[in-house]
Amino acid sequence: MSAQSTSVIRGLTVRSILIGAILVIVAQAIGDMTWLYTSKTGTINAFWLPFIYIVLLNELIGRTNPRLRLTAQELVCIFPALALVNSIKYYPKGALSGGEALSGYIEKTIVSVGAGMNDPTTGEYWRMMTPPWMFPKDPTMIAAWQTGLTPGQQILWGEFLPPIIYWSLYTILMYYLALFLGFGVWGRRWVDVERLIFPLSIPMIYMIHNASDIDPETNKSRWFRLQEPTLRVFWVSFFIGLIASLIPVFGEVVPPLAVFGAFAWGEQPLLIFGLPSIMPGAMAKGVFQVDQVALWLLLPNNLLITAVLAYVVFGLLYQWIGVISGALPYNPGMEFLWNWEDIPANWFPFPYRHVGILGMMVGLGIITLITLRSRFVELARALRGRSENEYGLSTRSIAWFGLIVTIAILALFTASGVPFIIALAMVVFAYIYWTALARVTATLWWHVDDFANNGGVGTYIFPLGVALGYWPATVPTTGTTNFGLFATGILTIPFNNTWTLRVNGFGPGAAVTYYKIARETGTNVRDAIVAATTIIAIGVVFGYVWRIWLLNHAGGLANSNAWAWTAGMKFSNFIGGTSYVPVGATDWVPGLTYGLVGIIIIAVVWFLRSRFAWFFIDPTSLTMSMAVGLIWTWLSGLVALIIKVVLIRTIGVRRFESYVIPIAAGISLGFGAPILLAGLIEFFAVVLPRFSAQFVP
Amino acid sequence: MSELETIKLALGDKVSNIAWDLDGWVIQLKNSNLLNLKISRRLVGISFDWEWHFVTTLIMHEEVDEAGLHLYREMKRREVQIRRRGILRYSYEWVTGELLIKVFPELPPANDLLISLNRDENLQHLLRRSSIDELYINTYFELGGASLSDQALRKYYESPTMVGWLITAIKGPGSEWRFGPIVKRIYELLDYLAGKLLEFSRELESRLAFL
Repeated sequence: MSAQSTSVIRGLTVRSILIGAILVIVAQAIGDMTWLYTSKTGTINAFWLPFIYIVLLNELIGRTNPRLRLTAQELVCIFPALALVNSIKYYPKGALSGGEALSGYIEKTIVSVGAGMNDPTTGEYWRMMTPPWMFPKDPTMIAAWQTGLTPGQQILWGEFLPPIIYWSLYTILMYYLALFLGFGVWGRRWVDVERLIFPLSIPMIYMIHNASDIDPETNKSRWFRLQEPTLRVFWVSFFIGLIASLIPVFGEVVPPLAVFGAFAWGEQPLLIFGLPSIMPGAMAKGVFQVDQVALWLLLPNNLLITAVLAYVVFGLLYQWIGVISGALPYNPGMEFLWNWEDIPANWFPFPYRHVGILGMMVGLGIITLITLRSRFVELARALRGRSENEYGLSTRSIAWFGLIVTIAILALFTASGVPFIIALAMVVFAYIYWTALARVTATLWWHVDDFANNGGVGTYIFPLGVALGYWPATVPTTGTTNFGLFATGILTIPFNNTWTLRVNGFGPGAAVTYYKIARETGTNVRDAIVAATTIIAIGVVFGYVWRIWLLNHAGGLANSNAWAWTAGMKFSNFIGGTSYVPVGATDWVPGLTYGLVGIIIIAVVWFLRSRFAWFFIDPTSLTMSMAVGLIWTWLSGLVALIIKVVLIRTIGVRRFESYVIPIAAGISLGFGAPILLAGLIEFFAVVLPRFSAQFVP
Repeated sequence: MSELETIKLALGDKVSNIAWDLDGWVIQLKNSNLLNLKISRRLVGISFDWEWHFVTTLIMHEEVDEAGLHLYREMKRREVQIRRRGILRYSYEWVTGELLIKVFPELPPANDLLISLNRDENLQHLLRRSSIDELYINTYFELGGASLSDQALRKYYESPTMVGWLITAIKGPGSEWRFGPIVKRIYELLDYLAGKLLEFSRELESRLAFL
């Protein structure tokens, strides 16, 4: 057994395990309550404690008693408790997004099914089809899910036990598959060989590195030594970020500005009002994110230029020329819509968003997996005994972990009623799509669109079932009575990717980002994955139990922010209809055609980029831009590019190189820091009173 | 077209031979003031941006006698580098080398080479045209015999084995899609600079001989 563990340090200690376990329970308890009863559903919707406060608290405790100070590696091992509850947006700035975290998984599983059983039009169908392991059959429990318990009524925990076990297992297995792929397949190559940038990991790594650099003479962290130029730059940037956080604050509280929204603390849509009069039909919307701009200063120019160029070609020229030539219809206001709305990105003749989602993402995933083929060989060898120690983690352990998780998913899906071949296809597509998601996250950012909801299931998985005779080609609008299709429709989301998975705190991109953090902080990788798996197991089971208690005791679906509408999404897309793309498609042929086009595009771009130095178009950046309908990439890309060029030209490459990481980390962490204050105000002024007013003992 | 092919195309008939050496291509040149040019690239910080290093040596004496030693030490006092200003259009100024100030603080810099370079309009034109990010003119050295680079520099200063110049030009990120023209322009800059340095060094050597 060869060793690559010379400089890794143990982080899994009794106190880090205890703190992690307690923290995940407290965070999910407060976070899920906030999610259900907040009035700021876009910004304060999970546990509002950015990790910088944990680090600062650790410094305070360490100054009073050095033995109580957690090491950098221990901090890394407790980090999953808050990442799990708060989504991937927690990594760079401490932002919250409950719908894209553990609470989001709960919404799209047990909440969704329970909501379907209460639906006024399709409820009877749902009640007929839903097995008791997905939701209780007892009518009083179904009714309480909608409006809460009546005084004196009790939760029938015995009825809820099978759904708790079933959905916990489903959710845990999804998390574990992401951890296997992140730690076992992608991480090592992307960190050591390809040296991907992992922009989302930079603030956390920078913060932990510096906060844990303790001066033995003073027992103080060197993080606060302002006489050091790079640290001074960090703190100045931190305050710039703090000031910039006024953007989401204004977006939430000042009525004239609130129309722009302020999703996830800083995803600020900007509209170019004059553009439609000059270029009718051209996309006049972009999302500006302060932390995205800051961290994209670290990206190579060609990635940023690709993002901007994709917008110019498809968002501006294609849409404008299409409209004025009559090839695309003109709908007033189409210039300002979101990517998932009725825009040319989703229309014939060139639905570039679907080309991106069904083709380029799939192609990117396949190509990336091909480049990782030797890694699979290594893992297969490790299963037979030739194990390596990779920074504390044995390849044999991770290979067995991955094998067991994959088989367990197949077994769970098949036992749930999904035909085995379909279960296999779902797992294969998860491997492919999750790989593309993780690569995009490790290279650029978290934004890519949903596979399952945007034609992925209708184009690839549903036709396979038809071809194999598992279900008919037409799904009745009253709902399928084919249990194989029902089970597939229920389980495909979030497993085959919705936003809840792709931006989850331990989704594919986050899992490999966490691996990067563990590596860069010198944390024993085995400790990091053990900490994450333990915290996830505790958090998930507690999350389901807590949500059942909350909804039953405080108002039910009807009186909370719970996503009852996810039942309708599952019904119309999978079990009471099929989601075909692009807009207007009546079967899977157009989706397959555009998917193939996308796969060819990405293969050609990948080849040209790897063969010719002058070919600057980056395949990952192009895929992300297309697959997310451009809105989430071009504006931040353009601003970052301009700032980067100006900075390099004014201060020179060498100083830019020295200061860019402190600048990016400082702005990101400063931008997220006020979330604590906003969260405290919202929790005590709105969440607790709303919960208390509806509480039924 | 690969980077190597781009380099060959940019330098045209000046190329005598190209070989890979550790981290870059070493190009033997003909009909030029430069005998060789090493072109290598390295990552900037943690990002995937590349910066390109163009390094050439101008060896004047391959053996060092008393006069050569004296010449080398006088050349050392004349180490210079560029300072770049501007955002959209650069202007350049030659200043005393940082390495000289940092490693040899006891040596008083001599500014005759610096003044000469700053007065050269054609050189200024070539600098602007190549939009180079960094350019260093140091005396030739080899890093050996000491664990720290500063110590190695001092050691070589005490007993140099060759007398000459080492010119390093660095072009920062954003070079990829116009790499050919950049290579050509930087070559023209270095070729002209080498001519100037050879001329200056010979004149310095003859001045020293009369002292």
